[in-house]
Amino acid sequence: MLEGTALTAALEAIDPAAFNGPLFRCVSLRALLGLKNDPGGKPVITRDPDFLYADGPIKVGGRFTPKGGAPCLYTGETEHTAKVEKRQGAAFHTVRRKPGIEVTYSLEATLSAVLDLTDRDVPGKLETSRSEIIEPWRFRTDGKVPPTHVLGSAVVASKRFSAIRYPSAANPRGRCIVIFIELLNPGEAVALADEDSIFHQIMSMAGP
Amino acid sequence: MKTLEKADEGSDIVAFGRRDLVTGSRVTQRNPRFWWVSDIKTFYRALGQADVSAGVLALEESSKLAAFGTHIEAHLSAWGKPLIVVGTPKIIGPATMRLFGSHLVKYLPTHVGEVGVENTVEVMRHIALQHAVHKLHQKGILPDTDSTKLLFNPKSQRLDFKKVAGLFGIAERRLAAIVDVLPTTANKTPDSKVIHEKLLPFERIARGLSELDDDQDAFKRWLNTPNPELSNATPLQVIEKGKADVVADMVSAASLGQPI
Repeated sequence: MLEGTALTAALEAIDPAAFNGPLFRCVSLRALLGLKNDPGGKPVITRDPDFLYADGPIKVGGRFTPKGGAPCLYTGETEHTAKVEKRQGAAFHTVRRKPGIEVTYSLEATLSAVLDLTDRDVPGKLETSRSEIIEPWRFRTDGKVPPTHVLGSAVVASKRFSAIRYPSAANPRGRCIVIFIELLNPGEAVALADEDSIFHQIMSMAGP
Repeated sequence: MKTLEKADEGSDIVAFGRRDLVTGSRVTQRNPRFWWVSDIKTFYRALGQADVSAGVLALEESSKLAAFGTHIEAHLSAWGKPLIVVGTPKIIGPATMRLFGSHLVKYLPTHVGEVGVENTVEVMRHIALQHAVHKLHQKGILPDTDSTKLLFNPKSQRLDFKKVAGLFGIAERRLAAIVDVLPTTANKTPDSKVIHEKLLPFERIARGLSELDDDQDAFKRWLNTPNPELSNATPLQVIEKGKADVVADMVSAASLGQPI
């Protein structure tokens, strides 16, 4: 992966791509509803679900997000990719095979400024590779900053791209998109796919 | 300039005003928790100190309380400590009413006694703590810590070094080296404030117990199983490299449903 001014210059020379279509997220019901146990051990809902919650990576990091980085949404291009990405990120999958209750939902995305790392030519321009993009980032034995964090930070600083499309580390055929929500340009949007307004109806039934 | 030296190391309730309004005239014995100060500025400064847990104003005239009220109102939330006003009912008037609207301020009638004040302070602190915890729960900031209760000293409410070492299966001497404290210190004061703070990432890791139905054996197995997300190092190996934060983030990411 290029670094510093070389990376900045390389990003300047890459044309942003467009992406229009559904994206998927898979989260645990526990996280979505903020379930806590009351003193009797009964689960209690402590928050309204926020389907576009983008602060998680700020708190705990993400593949392209160093801790304390920009708010962003990590998504999969298919339901399956979102699911396997979430399950492999579930920390305890090494000793627990059965996941808890999961919620998979779709978002409608209209993006015009995507850095497409799945484009055959783009990784070469950044002097990176598929294997570097999908390698484990949370802990590196060499102690170096993960190349994906170097790239993510440069993308945010450039303001040229609002999202990165990249190969899934969990699904060899899958693709993911991380959207930097504060960098969305006019005309770009990400919204919960809720055509029948079911979510909104449920929320209004629940009261203020 | 007046110094802030306390009369007694154990005193944690700073008080100003007429002591006889609290104790009654016949009480002569000193209560070691009370630190009676002679001027209001010392009182304000003392309330800003970390080891002072509450303040008591014993006043007879509402005009005095009204004069102090503006400064108190401005600083009350920063102090974040209970303030007990002892006096006759006449000190509550239009000019002081706003002060009593705060959940941190409580009125007690005269001659309640220092023990009565102490009990009220404890009740107020308990309610304030519950209130704060409830607010954090509402915001979804405070995770479910039921699974990590076993790591806390029930009396001090702080993490206990020995209990953490036990759950993680780490020798106490080794854990002391990881969190950079002397083994003798950890042995003598296993739940000191300093050690508690150094153990916080371990508590975040242990929250993962809830994902494993509180099965401590499974938790230990997980700690010793190579994890692809950690470049195939085991969580324990990463912790032993002084990177407990990295493992804690991985556990938090899992509870947030973050992808890899």
